[in-house]
Amino acid sequence: MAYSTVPKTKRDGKITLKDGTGTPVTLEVAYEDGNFSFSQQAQNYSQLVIMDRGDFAAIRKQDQQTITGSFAFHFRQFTDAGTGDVRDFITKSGGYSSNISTGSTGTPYIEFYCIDIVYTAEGTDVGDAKDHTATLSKCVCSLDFSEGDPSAFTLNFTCYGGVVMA
Amino acid sequence: MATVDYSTLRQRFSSTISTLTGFEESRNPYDGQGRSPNTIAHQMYSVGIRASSAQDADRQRKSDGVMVSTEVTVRYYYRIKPKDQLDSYDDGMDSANLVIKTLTNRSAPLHTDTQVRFSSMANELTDSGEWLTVILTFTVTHQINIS
Repeated sequence: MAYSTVPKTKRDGKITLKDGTGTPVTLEVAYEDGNFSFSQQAQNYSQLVIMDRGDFAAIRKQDQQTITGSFAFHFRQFTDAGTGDVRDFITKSGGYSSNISTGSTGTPYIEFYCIDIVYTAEGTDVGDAKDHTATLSKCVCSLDFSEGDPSAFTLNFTCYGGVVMA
Repeated sequence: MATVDYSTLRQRFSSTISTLTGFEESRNPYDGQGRSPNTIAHQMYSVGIRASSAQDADRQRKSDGVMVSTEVTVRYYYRIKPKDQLDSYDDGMDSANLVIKTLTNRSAPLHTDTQVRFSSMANELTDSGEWLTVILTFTVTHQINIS
């Protein structure tokens, strides 16, 4: 498959939230800024630097690290009992009160309610052989709210299940 | 939030102002308003879509539309009577307050899927001293359709 020659922009992006139901409940985020971001250490572990009188003696693999990220979307309402919204999805409330956490099975077990977050960059529409995805598993989420024109939510997440790129 | 196109926005502004006593819309578009004769110029208004810019913080999904900030300008003329000119001038200022109050009153259909904010008021007296030109500018946040 040929490597893509098309740099992607925020117009190509799409964010989908998924729960842990057998056939996952999904929510595609709408009215958003297009500023999805996440950061991950290349080798997923912190480094223990052992010095010998000022010189590097050894660098040992230490603790596994989380992946953190965020994205912002425009505020429309706080909750909805029928349809549900993003806040409902990440707090298992309102229209998404029956959601199942993605962290309750497998390793690591996560006591907190968590979801999977899938970022998709459109590829086929611009001539690529496929769309490009990053699936972040077992994400514990929090929300920041700020008023403005427009008022906005920023969703912050900590991912414990790793990321699968495709 | 449903999309609101520019023409719809202009029409909504115009319809709202037309409910005010004495206000009549110019038959000419905004930039041609000055072609109207003096005999019908008093409280004759025109609504112009002057500029519109997309918000940077927007993914511009086809299903959502593009979030834009649109500058809508209302211009009207107010006649300054030969006698008691300051009274006429104050009446002109009161009319500006009334238009601002009416357009920022959050009610349908103007405010359906829009956020209307008053931005500025400017006015100028013609050299003859007979006409006060009032220009009101509003900033409207809305979505335009791209699908």
